[in-house]
Amino acid sequence: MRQLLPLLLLFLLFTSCKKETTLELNFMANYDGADLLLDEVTDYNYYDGTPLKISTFRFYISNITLVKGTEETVLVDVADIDFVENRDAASAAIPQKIVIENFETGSYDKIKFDIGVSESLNATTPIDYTSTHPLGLNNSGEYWESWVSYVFTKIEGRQDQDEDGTYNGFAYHVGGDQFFTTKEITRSIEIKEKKNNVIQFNIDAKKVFSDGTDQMDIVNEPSSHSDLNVPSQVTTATKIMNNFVNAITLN
Amino acid sequence: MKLNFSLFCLLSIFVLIFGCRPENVDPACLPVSGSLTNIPYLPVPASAAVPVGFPQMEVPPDNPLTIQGVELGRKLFYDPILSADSTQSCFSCHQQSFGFADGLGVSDGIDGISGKRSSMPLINLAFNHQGFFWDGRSASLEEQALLPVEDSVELHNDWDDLICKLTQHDTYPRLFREAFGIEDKIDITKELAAKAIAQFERTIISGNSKYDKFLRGEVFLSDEELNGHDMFFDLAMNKVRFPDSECAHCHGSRLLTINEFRNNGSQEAATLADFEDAGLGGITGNLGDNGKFRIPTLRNIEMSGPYMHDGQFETLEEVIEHYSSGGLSSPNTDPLIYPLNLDAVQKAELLAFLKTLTDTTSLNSPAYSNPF
Repeated sequence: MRQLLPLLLLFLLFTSCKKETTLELNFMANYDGADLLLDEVTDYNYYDGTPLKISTFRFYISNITLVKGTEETVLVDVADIDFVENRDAASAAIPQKIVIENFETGSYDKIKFDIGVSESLNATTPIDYTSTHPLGLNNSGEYWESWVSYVFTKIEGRQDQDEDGTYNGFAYHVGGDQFFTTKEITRSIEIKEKKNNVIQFNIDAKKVFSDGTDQMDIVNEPSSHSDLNVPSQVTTATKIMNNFVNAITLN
Repeated sequence: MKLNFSLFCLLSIFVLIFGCRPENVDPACLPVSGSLTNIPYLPVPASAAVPVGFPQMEVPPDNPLTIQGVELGRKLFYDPILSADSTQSCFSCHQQSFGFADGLGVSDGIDGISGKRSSMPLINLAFNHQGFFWDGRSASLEEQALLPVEDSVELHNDWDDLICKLTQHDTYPRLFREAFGIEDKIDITKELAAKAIAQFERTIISGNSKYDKFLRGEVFLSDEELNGHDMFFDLAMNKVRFPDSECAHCHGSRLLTINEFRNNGSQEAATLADFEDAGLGGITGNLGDNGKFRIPTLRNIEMSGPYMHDGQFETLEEVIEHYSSGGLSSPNTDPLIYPLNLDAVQKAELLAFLKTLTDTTSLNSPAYSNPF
């Protein structure tokens, strides 16, 4: 037994050292608290009570940064958060996940991030990247040439405005440096060593349509582009972007 | 009587074994072995000419482009040995002069049976990493190249029989040796054949159309073409005269496709279960994917009709009318397919722009042509 003890201690030493410090940034989407399903089937209630389906819900998030006093630790430069796999309750329960391994542990005061693609990265195009990069070829549908910009946020779907079983499409796309928006959330965040730390972002798709007072008039304004030459488009895009930022909360 | 019964049983077994084989296949074909090590294996890296402004070409690490691999793939692509009766090959449905489609709504396989989908143009496939075929059933070109050989409405062959013929062939064992370094004829496999075909297909690039030359500053577009271009890409200031035709959402970038899957309103369906052709949904099993198909490139679109997954439109004018009118209704028709109500001038301008995508360089390149 005495001979086994050193071996046991060595085993414990090795196994305890295996625990690495990781940080998961998880993104979960909902519609007014219910799982957000992009299954072309599930109806949600719009503000006016009419049925609404969401078919696309995605956005770029950049410069996710933990702040400790004056120190800032950038965790992610840019990521594409796309809920395309939310097909049923099981898949919707799996968060969009970014796992970070090299960062400083400790206590942080707040987290900040940008919605969209920063100006320097937004000056690039999908051909500047490998196909699987968030800004790369496989996301070339997220680059809109006439804006010379990535599409920062995208929400598409259908609404049955007169509840006759016929749905009409809507598509709100926002992009362009002017709409790049920063959000800060002041919250004590403890990142512990040798632990899988999790920060969870929740995004309520319903809130993208409202600033808390006014709701998008989907019937009369079923789409948005961000053409700076068209004032009405700028107004709508600004509204959508502000709503999008407000729709994101920390768990 | 007992003898007759035994004979009947034997005959039945014979029919069972051989009755379902495609016709004209030599049932006695046995793969031939034979050392190839006396043939030098000196593969030379090949580099396809990627046009300026195109994405970088990503090639699978286990199938790098070589001159020998591309040449073998080209021969296989054009060789009717691929079909059970040696009458058809890849080129039967993918002809260079049609932008590597075939000019037919749907095509007949070797048994005269029509497929249900139109032949897809094989252009710039090297830059697609999001699934092949209209329904995305193959993740890579290498996987894609395996399927038509055994498809009963295409080449209706059997890979074992084809490989057998290749081992017995006068030149293919040498070509496989030079391309992949196999040591014996018996080492020829369907996976290597598919790799070679994929290599050749990766070299088929279109990037020298009038539109490309316009982007490179070498030519001007006519006013009509430019107006169509501005509507296509939503570039015009005057949205009343030149409305966004919403084309670039799916056909953006230099590739003129985003290589994703959409329902473009080409099938009417009351419910998601009612599509005549489920497309992507038939592969993923997700009801919401029913009716969605891969977005093809518009390069050489003037040459690659009829159009849509089922070849339902003979002309580009019909296609433009389809999108202008908002397409057919279904539960998941893309939200960006809605009535554009373009006038005759706007339609003509879009058509004029689409014709600037014709690339005679790729349509006539000797490097892509039939080597036989």
